[in-house]
Amino acid sequence: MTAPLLEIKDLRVSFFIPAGEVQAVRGISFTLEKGESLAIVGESGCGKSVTAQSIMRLLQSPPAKIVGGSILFQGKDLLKLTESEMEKVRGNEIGMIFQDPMTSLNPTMKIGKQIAEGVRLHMKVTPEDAKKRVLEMERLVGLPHPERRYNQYPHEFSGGMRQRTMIAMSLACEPKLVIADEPTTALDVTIQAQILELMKDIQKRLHTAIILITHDLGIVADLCHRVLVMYAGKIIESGSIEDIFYHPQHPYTWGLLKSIPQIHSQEKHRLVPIPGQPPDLIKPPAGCAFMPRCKYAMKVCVEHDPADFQITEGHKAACWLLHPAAAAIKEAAEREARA
Amino acid sequence: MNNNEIILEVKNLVKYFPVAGESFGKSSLLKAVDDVSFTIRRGETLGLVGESGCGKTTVGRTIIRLYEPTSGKVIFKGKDIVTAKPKEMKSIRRQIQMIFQDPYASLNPRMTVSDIIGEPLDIHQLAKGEARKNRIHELLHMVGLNAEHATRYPHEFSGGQRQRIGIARALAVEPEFIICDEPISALDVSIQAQVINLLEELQENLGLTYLFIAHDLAMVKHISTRIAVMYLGKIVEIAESHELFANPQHPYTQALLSAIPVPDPKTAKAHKRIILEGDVPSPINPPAGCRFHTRCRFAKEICTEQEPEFKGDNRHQVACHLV
Repeated sequence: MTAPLLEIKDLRVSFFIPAGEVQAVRGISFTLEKGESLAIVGESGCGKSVTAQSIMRLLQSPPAKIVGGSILFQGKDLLKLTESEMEKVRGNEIGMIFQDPMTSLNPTMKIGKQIAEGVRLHMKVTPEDAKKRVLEMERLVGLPHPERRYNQYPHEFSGGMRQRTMIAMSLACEPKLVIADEPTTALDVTIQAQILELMKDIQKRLHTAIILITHDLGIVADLCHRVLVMYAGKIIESGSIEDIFYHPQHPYTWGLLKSIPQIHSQEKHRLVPIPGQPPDLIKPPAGCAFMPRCKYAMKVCVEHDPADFQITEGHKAACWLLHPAAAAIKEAAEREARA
Repeated sequence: MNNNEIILEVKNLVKYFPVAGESFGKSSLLKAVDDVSFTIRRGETLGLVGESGCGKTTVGRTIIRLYEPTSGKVIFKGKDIVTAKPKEMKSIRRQIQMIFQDPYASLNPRMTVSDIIGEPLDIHQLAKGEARKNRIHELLHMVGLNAEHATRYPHEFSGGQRQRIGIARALAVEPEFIICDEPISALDVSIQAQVINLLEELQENLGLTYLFIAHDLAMVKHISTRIAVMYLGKIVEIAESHELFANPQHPYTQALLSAIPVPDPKTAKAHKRIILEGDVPSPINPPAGCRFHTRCRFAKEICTEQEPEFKGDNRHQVACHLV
């Protein structure tokens, strides 16, 4: 077996603020194969964006600090690179699409120039070739009238067109990995549908690996192969989309799936929200972080952080219910969760 | 209680905003809401959906006269709100309340929760002293908070809790009708369900009527009795909730519904989306005829010339030439 494209081992990121140390990411590990599309889902503050920004080394330090772990991209540890070495990775080998296309484009720079910037920097081409490449990218992402768009400014673009521009920028240097942080959250549903189709199409054509960060499980089901569910800075469950949607094992994953309305069901049923709210990560709990909100919490959950339990090949969850000793409770809980 | 009683009737509501024109000295009109009519029956929830800029929020705000309507009527329990005098307006605002989208911006950061919820009680002189305090505690309890929260400030609360405070403030004056303007868009998924369940419980217990404005169609379907779909300042389709999802008639509604991401891998992979080309045209200079014709897959000549009228029965109405 060849080495994975990306391997993250025990990554820990904290923010040092006057009130104390906020442990935003608390020891996560995962791998990503070439051409694979991986979703990281979770609610605000669970550490999903911080994970993405750590891979790109975009976190501002201080207050943020990568406290431990390693990020191996094609075998080399990104955390050990110097800033100038890292610049060769950013935009060249790893592209990034941000949530807000409004603020992530430079308002005083023409669209064509912005896309060309990365191309000129990384690909060492003549200005003419760079322009050719930009027009090619504009066509790829479906920007109408590429020649005219080249000389326009971001304010002349709609939200959907700006996001297409971002995608063009992130793909211009043919990166092996694109990290998309909530790429459609700021867009309307019909525009979101356009962008998702575009991303699916591009992935099929270019075989780029994607890390998609989102809170919308609907997008995940459509676009990704594998899912990591994060809660309070940890990965609490990971598996294929089938594992997560059809055989979820962690009570938090059950909660997430049950709190979204089913548009295809005929009869109306009450939503089942998750009570309470996520813990404060300045003082993360000793045991399972989800314990205070978990209906099935046991004594062990209070003191001991659950270990990862392997359910099937590629499907893991961190919950004490999966311990053989809790089999009876687990069965009852699962029956209830399915109901 | 008569379930068919019409509590609110909006008739040919129009709201234009003047905007600075392309050339100096000339101003043009942004047609945010252009001839919108609908009714809401007591105890029901009417969902109002559409994409950004379609005018749904403006409809909500114009109903309660946060914006003065350009023309049209808003009849609340037989009385036209548009022509109501300031004194009458005060009593109407006691009966119609609003819950806002952004729980961070809609609470005064310098007021305690007790002052925020107590303010409407003071304005309408509903309770004083001990009674006021008790009422505030009762309201906090109703929305799932407790008395000890009363002395705290908004920044000490999470988004979901702030939205609960906003709901408590709206409930303080015992309104009959509440306009919910994107009340859950700023919240996390697991918290959204908490707030939706709270709104549903309150509706059952207090017999409230809601106008629920949102862009999240799955949530709107869940909470609404009927749904109206807006596009570029106009309602294009209005129907009972299940009927609209089972049998959407307008090409825009069809595209909108098909664009909802489905949280189920098998369905999602098999699901064919209708992709609309391009973007929504500008409401400053909307297309002639049917406003949707520039993006419609089925547009014919008539669509570019004539504005479609509403067709259909009480259960399901649609404005499209091709139906």
